Amino acid sequence: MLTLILILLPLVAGLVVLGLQGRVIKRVALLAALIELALAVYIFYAFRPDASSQFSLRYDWIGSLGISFSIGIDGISLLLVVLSTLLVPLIILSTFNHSYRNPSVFYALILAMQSALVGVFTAKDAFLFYLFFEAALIPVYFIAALWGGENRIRVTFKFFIYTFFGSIFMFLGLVYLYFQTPGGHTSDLAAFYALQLSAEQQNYLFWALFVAFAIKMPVFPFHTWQPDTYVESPTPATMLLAGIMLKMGTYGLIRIVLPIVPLGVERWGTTALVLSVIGIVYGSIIAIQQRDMKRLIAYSSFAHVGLMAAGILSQTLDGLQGSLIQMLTHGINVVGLFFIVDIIFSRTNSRELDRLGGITQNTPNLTVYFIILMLGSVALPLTNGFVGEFLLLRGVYEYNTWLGAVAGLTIILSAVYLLRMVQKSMFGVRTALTEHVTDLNLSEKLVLLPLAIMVFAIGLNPNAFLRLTEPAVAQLLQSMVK
Amino acid sequence: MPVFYPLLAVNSAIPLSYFVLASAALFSIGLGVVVVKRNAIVVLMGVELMLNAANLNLVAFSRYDPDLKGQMFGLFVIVVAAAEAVVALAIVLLVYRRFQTVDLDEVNEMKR
Amino acid sequence: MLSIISLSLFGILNLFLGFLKSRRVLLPATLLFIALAFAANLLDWNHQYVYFRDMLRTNNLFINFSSIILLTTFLTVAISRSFGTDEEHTHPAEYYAIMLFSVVGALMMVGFENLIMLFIGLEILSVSLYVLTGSDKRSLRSNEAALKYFLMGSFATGIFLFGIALVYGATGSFNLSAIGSYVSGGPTTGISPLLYVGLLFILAGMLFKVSAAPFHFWTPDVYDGAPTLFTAFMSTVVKTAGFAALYRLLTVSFTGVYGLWWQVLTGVTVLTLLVGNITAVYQSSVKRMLAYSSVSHAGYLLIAVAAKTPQSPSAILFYSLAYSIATITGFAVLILVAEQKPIEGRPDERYEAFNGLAKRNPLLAFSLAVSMVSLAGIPLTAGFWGKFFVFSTAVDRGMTNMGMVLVVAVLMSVVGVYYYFRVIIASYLKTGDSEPIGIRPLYRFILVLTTALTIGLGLFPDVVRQLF
Repeated sequence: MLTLILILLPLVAGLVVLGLQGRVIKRVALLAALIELALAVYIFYAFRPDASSQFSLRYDWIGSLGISFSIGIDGISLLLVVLSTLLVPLIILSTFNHSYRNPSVFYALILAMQSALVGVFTAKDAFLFYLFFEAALIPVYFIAALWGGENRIRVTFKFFIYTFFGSIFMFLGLVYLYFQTPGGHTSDLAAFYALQLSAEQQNYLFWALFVAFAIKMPVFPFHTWQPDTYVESPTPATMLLAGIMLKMGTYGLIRIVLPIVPLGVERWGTTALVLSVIGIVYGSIIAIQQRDMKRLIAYSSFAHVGLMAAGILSQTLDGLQGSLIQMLTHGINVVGLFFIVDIIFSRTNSRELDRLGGITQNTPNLTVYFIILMLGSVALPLTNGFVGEFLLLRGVYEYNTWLGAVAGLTIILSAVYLLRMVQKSMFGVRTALTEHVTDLNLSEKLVLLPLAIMVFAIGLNPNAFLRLTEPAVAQLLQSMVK
Repeated sequence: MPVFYPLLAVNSAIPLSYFVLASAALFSIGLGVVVVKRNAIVVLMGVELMLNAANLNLVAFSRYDPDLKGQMFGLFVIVVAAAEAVVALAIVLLVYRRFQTVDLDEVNEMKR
Repeated sequence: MLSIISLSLFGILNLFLGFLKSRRVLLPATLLFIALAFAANLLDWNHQYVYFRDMLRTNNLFINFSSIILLTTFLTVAISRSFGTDEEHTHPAEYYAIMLFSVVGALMMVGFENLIMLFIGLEILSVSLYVLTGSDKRSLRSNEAALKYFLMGSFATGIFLFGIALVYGATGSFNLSAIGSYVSGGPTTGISPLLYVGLLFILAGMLFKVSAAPFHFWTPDVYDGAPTLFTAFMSTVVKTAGFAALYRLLTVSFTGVYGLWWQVLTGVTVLTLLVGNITAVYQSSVKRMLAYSSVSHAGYLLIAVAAKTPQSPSAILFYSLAYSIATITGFAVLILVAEQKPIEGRPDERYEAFNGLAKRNPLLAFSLAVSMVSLAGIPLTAGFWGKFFVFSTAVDRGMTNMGMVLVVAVLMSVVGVYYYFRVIIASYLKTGDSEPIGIRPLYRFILVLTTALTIGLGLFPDVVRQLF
């Protein structure tokens, strides 16, 4: 029941917001997101750390087809539910200094998006998963297309078609799997896990399913929609995309691809892993050359997500655990970084590294937060990034030494482009643009403070999260061996 | 109903295959006219040829059918063809009044 | 059966109502007639009847198909307002009557048990539509469309009829089951070659009527030239009736030669999907885009026919329902938007006419968006489940047989998203006129109804599917 409330609450709040006017909109939206967060925190503490699915609910939706509205939370879901419920209130709070046109629609779409995201992370029925997976696309498309930059229509359209292209192949794969289930057919994910598919079937299915998630994440060479979309979208949409939505891809790999087509992963996993590792290096190298801060973070996100995919595809406990904790970490860091870029842009009207510099002299608070988040992304020990990257690299290394070594470049390269970004924008000589930059105001601090706390909290005590996901991950790997 | 195979039947003065061939020829001529000719009235005549070719077949096959179902169908076809022709001539007249021609290549408002 | 008889009588009654010269009576009367026929139709639920010495058969499948046809007709009539550009020279009573008559033809195509009935039903439907296509007498385009539709349509009828004659020659019967037992029972002498040729001719004729490629070439011009109201009518009712007839004919009579027509149909399906979707992308007029989109939807429906699984009828039914509702909505909005700013006396049907629609009338924009999303087959709309059921039949048939078709269908539905979303983008993201568009209450009601149906069926497809 609690899970259902978790899904419906933002949707209902969104509908309420749609009917409101004026300043109260932001507050109601924030309140709803905070209640949602409180619920998620309650679930976090009430959760028994074992492999079972808890807070489950099952309701026959399309009885004649064996499709049910079946939701529940296990360790893997919990982590992502926590991530999305934590980030959405911060994203809403981060907009308090902006005034968007048609605010009621804007906040309603953000809340609808959250509803769909929580749905994706808790669905236990394949078609329900697909429905939420697609439903999440519509609000973010409209947020980006209505409030985005100059080329928004073209760029977001490309994004929409691209991701729809991927997911429809997944749909075909799911329909095929559905017809493999015995008897009157069911689309329960558990029934999909129990299927005995031949190696040939799994090879085809692997690609049908993998492409959908690879586009969402994105993995090289399916990433071409991503940088433009991130840059053209308004910052809240970018945060939703990078912070939460790309995790739908990695989550799908863990939840759908690994357990359903283990033989397919065995056959094609290395190819996919190599693609992911190429993405890491490629994304990093391009990030180094960027001048636009938003674009730079977009490419860094592309590089980081490549490592997550590589960890998952390594099919090791360390790799999977690392990628799960990294999903949480990356969400926190990338949202923080995008927000800081947005703050700088709101003060100077520029994101060009060459035209910025010396901001730090006026803005001690901003500098501190920027550096904390940057170090988290660079994976300095004691920050949140370290735990994830360490486990991930160990997992990939265990899978293949050479790939592990190449993937390890990510730490060096990310240090290069992130340090360069901080150095060029914050330090050095002041420019005409940065002369009158003001420091953080209250609402901005309220966004960045929780993020900074999380950077250290996860860095110092990763076990709080790892112990929750471990049983579920162990069981998953166990089931793949069969 | 007994299954039968009219092409092999021989109890008739004129073999059935003659009728089938004649109607096939008629049909082909009709088809050719529809495809080649550009005058709406001539095309209409081609269509009528096709319908009548089918009619000829129906009646010829009906000769071997104790129920004469084919002839009955033939009557329906004649009625329907008449109804079609009425509508057709009305449309052609209307088009002639508006376009001053019934040449199909010149009746081409949409491409302009 | 009662529905067929009552509709014929109502049509005649409608002609007499025309003497009253009052549109205020005509529209409600016609709607009432259709509603009555709908109710009469439901009386036979769960009964099997055969009428007129094996001429017509009613069963639940017939009732389901005819209910969809009657529902779409109801919606179309409800959004009708004027006929033609020249108000005082139109005769609305006659157009309403012709619409009712054409529905009689469509119902006969759904319930036929004998090829004679199929032929007569098809002709009643087609001849009525020739007249309706040309109903805007002052418009050159309408005249041209009527002429083209007539010539192409009667050409197809000729081929179709010749096919029937050949099948009769081979089997000695027009009765569906008798033909079926000849084909699958296998006469000792083997199946006559006449039957194969006849089947191909019949197929060509039927595929022509449902506008499947390569027999679709008439569609864009006719749909474009006809008054938009009748384009909506044609693209929904004809398609539903045509597919009902095609499915019934192929499964009852020609199951024995499935191997033959399966190959033909899959080829036609692939071609239809490719041609319909790819050409739709290049259109600059929304009306023409919808015409090509109707070609492409014929392709999706053909998948379910070619798969021929026990689930095929319900897949065709659900798809037709979802498609019809969404198409009517799309055309209804198009009618209103296009007449706002005519260009050279013609309605402006370009994409640009939709710019800024969300500001001019949010309801229009929203129902348009929902219908386009449904046509594109995106989840939580009826269209998604339509695609789901259709694809399911193909997967059920087996990937070795249908895998190729499925991949094409999936790719083409991505292409579909492209052109359907252009309309949504125009109405929500672009700026245009700001002059509000007003709608009459009935029109508003219909739009709300269709939108609610599309979303409702998207959330709970089982409600309707249990009936199918």
